[in-house]
Amino acid sequence: MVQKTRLDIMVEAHALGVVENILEKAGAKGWTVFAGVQGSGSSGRWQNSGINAAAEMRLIVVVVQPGIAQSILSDIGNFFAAYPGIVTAAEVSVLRSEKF
Amino acid sequence: MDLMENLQSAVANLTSPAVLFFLMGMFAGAARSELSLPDQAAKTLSLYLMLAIGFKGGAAASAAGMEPQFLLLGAIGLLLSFAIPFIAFALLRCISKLDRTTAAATAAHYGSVSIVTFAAGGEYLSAMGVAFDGFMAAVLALMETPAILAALIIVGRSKELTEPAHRKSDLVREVFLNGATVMLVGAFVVGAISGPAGMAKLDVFVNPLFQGALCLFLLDMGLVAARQLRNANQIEVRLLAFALIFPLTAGIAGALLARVVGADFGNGVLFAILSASASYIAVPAAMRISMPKADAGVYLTLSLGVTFPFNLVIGIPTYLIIATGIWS
Repeated sequence: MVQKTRLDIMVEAHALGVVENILEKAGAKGWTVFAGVQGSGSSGRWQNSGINAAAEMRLIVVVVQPGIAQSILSDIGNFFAAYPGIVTAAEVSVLRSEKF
Repeated sequence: MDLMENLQSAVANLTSPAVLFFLMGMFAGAARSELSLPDQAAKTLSLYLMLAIGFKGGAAASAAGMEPQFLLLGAIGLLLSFAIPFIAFALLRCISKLDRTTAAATAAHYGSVSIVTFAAGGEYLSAMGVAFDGFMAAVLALMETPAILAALIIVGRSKELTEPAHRKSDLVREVFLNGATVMLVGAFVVGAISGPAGMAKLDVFVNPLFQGALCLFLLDMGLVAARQLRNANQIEVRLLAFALIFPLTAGIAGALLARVVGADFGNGVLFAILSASASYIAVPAAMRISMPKADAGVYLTLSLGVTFPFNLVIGIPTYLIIATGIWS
């Protein structure tokens, strides 16, 4: 097992393209996007309705080398200065180091 | 129309399946029922409604040919959609404590239009025997976006469009190429090209099924509106009053303008309905990108939780009554 950094990035759907560009630029080799269903945040409770697509939430999970994670966090931090979102980072152990 | 006929038309609206399903959705939402429509089903229904409205409009416009009325109503539609946010913004800043960005974003919602209000208005007019032209679907499309530009001008962001961290192309794509707009305009073009022959082939799909789909979508809209209304207790009473009175005023202005440019009665009523409606699809999406600091809890609650139900239940027959007075 090898140590890597996992980032969970939660953003509104309209920002997905921006985040994917940041990941690509930083050199992430792969990531997965999940759709949020419902939840609660600073604006109160939210729930997908199928009507307001831009406000739906997306969770992007990416596992990268720690150096790349720092680069991603720096760019995501700039984005979050203006737009809503959450990012968490955690040290994880992975098999097949060459995949990340 | 005399008073009795006016009352009958208002009662007919209240007892129409579309409005009753909407009210049922609102009740279920307020009672926190488990009733819900899967969001993918709501998306599909929304696309179907755009397709049907656009296609029927295009096919009817093709059969009628290019009408000067379309150009006139399209022009005043663009003008009104651009002007309303400036008026609404000034009012909102006067009557409330909204910050500049949230007031501008809210104003943009009232300058733009609601496709479902248009659909419900069209169905109501048809039930009342009031004829209107197919090109009104194109007027609807024209009135969707000028308000967004107006709001950007209000907050002094007409050049950079978005916060620096977001790409300008994202906003442009969201405004002009969002799924609803592409489907509506695309279906209008398809209907206009295929004409009456195309309509004969799609008639069953876009006509008899339309009412049922509209009812199901409005049921979902009722659930969504009820959820949105739960935020209403955090909103100033003056803003709630704005969400009821401003559409009425805009509807009257729309009817008067349509009358001035010589629109037919049915087109005039539909134009008044469009002027009175507030967006809850295209504009919220654009505001998320261009004005992320604007409080979505305010503009969505007002447009979706207050103005939309008001227009659907009370506004639409009221605009018909007002237009009847203006045209008589």
